[in-house]
Amino acid sequence: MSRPSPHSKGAVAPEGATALHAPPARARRRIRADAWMGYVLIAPALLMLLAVIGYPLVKAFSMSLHKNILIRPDLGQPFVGLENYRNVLQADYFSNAVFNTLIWTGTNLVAQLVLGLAIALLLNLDFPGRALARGVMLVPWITPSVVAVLTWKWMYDAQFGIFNDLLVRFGVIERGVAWLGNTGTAMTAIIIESIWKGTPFVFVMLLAALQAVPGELYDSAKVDGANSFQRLRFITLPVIRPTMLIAATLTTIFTFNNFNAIWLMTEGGPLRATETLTILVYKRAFQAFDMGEATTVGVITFVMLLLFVIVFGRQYVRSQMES
Amino acid sequence: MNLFRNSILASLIALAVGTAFAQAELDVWVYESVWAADAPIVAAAETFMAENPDIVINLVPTQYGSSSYQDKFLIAAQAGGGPDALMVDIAWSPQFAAIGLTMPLDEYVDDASGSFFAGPLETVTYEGSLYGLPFYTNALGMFYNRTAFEEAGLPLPEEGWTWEDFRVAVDTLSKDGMYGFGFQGGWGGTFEFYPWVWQTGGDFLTADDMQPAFNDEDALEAARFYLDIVTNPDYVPEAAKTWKGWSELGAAFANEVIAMYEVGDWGIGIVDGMEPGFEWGVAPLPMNEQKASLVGGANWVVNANTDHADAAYRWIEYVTGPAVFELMDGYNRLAARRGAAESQAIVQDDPRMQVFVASLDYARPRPTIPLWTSIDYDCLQPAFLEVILQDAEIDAAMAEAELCALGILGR
Repeated sequence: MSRPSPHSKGAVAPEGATALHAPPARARRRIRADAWMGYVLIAPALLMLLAVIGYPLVKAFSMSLHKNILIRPDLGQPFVGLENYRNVLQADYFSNAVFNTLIWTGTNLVAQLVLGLAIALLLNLDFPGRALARGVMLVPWITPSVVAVLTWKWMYDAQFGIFNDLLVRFGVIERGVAWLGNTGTAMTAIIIESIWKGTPFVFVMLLAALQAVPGELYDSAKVDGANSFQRLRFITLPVIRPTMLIAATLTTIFTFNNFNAIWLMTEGGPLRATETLTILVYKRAFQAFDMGEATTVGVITFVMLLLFVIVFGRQYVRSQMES
Repeated sequence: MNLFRNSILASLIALAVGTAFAQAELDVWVYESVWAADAPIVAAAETFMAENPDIVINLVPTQYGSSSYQDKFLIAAQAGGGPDALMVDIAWSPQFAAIGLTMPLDEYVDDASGSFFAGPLETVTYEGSLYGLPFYTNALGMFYNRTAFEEAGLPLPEEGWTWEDFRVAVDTLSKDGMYGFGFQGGWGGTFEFYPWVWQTGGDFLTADDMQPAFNDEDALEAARFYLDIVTNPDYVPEAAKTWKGWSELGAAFANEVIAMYEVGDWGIGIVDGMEPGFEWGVAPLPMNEQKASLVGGANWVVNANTDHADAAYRWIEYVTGPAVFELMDGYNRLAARRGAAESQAIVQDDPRMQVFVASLDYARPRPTIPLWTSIDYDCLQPAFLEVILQDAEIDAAMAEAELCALGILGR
């Protein structure tokens, strides 16, 4: 299989763009004209983005600076500056949600990356039935999330669930435990479901990256006497690093923002034990009807996620430049 | 601008229809669960349209979740849209009225007390004005496994049975893999808890609705009794900690996991549908100082934004009027209109329904102030869950809940 060398990129670039020296005036004008045309062409998409992302963002920020409790219209919607931020940052439920979000996202991220990589390495080996194994691995990913969540909810059920049935049968516990109903076990239970659901995505990305690792590298490393761990450490991991960073970023965003899995299994309960920031936003908005505080939590959440994406984005750019 | 657009629309419609008057086209939200192509509500709308050719009813089935139906209306109406008329849970009616999303009906109705049961009517009355018309109603009763009662040699629960009778029954029936009682532990069981407080003579708020009263001695007695039972792992299954819906309870009852649970008339269809292999019945809730039950149900309200207030009112007047008896027979539910017990075939034919009708005499609605939902979710439920899940001390948890409620009421 032949792969285009990185140096062949320029060969297909349009005339004019590859010039190493400053282009003559006429060409410069043409570039400017091209650029202008480009702006015109992306304008509709840009306007659309502004309308569906920019406007809500600005509106949310503005709402977070106003008092707005839907069931207290008598209070009006006065500008209150940073009062919502002060209330939210001081509230126990906020620190609880931040803590839960970190546990939820962090555990999911580490577990999905490690498991995803392990499975990808395994299924990158040559063995009979490999194609079938790869297909089966994708089942959690292609299962609609609501179906998956409700199935897991049943498996966790204290009365009829399969986990409790097995544990009781093997004498590990005396009677069924409501895994989703106890404050000590609910978070672990929903994280396990989420790892099951999310790992195949990481696996697919990493498997694709593994298949793009040039075989010659392994061959020459073998000749040099590198063992399999060294080959993993010094060849495989560095080559798939950019993909791992993308997988990590996407997994973090998916997990961080995941609402439906948590909502369908526990609604953030019991006693806020699984209440993450996204669940908190919903509850402030549609159970407490406090739109000011809800958008405040939303804005803080957005900033947290933005900081994370910036840090990871830079890592990604750096790793791209290195390779 | 709006007027201009409307008049153009009206002329266009008039032209299209070829008549001199414009038809009022109403969007009407109903719970998804009551809608089907051949559902009784559809037939009722057709009859209404035949009698009122100037009105078109578009029934819009809307999903009823723990909050989604409510959210959708809230968001749509605050943005100036939403349906013209809609059916709503009685618990939401005061909220909508307080926000000003539903239309006061005082100009249409002088006095509705002769037409509807008092409990349901209270839920559409806000600050002295009428904000809707009661549709159907129900009260909580106790489903019990008659076969289990008989095999255990227990007297069957009947009108006038007491807390002590209930406790003995729970204790006796909790054996051989069966639990005496089940409840919606996912919510902390606060929904089923309401009647117990009223049965002691206590209440959740003071009479002026300004202060919490659920930490007073009467209410505390109820909390201790109820929580002692639901926290006993021999009496209530562990699985109840995650139960949040009636089908879960119905399944547990029909599969002989639990011998009793509190539920309204909607539970009959659920349990019958599961074809339980034993005899069962409905009892009124056990009494203490007095009898009490909880009123539930739905109302019809008119969106304050509607351009067709008169037409919308005519529809809700029709659908809650004498036609409601036949309509509700179709749903196996009890109309909130006076005369339901005498006029509805399902009551005449089913002794289980008669127990619920009798309970309506002393059934009361949840507190009707808009802030009650917050107090329930943020104060009472956490207190109950702390007792159930974390062995918190009952008195301390209730005291904490009272402080929390004071904070919400004082906001």
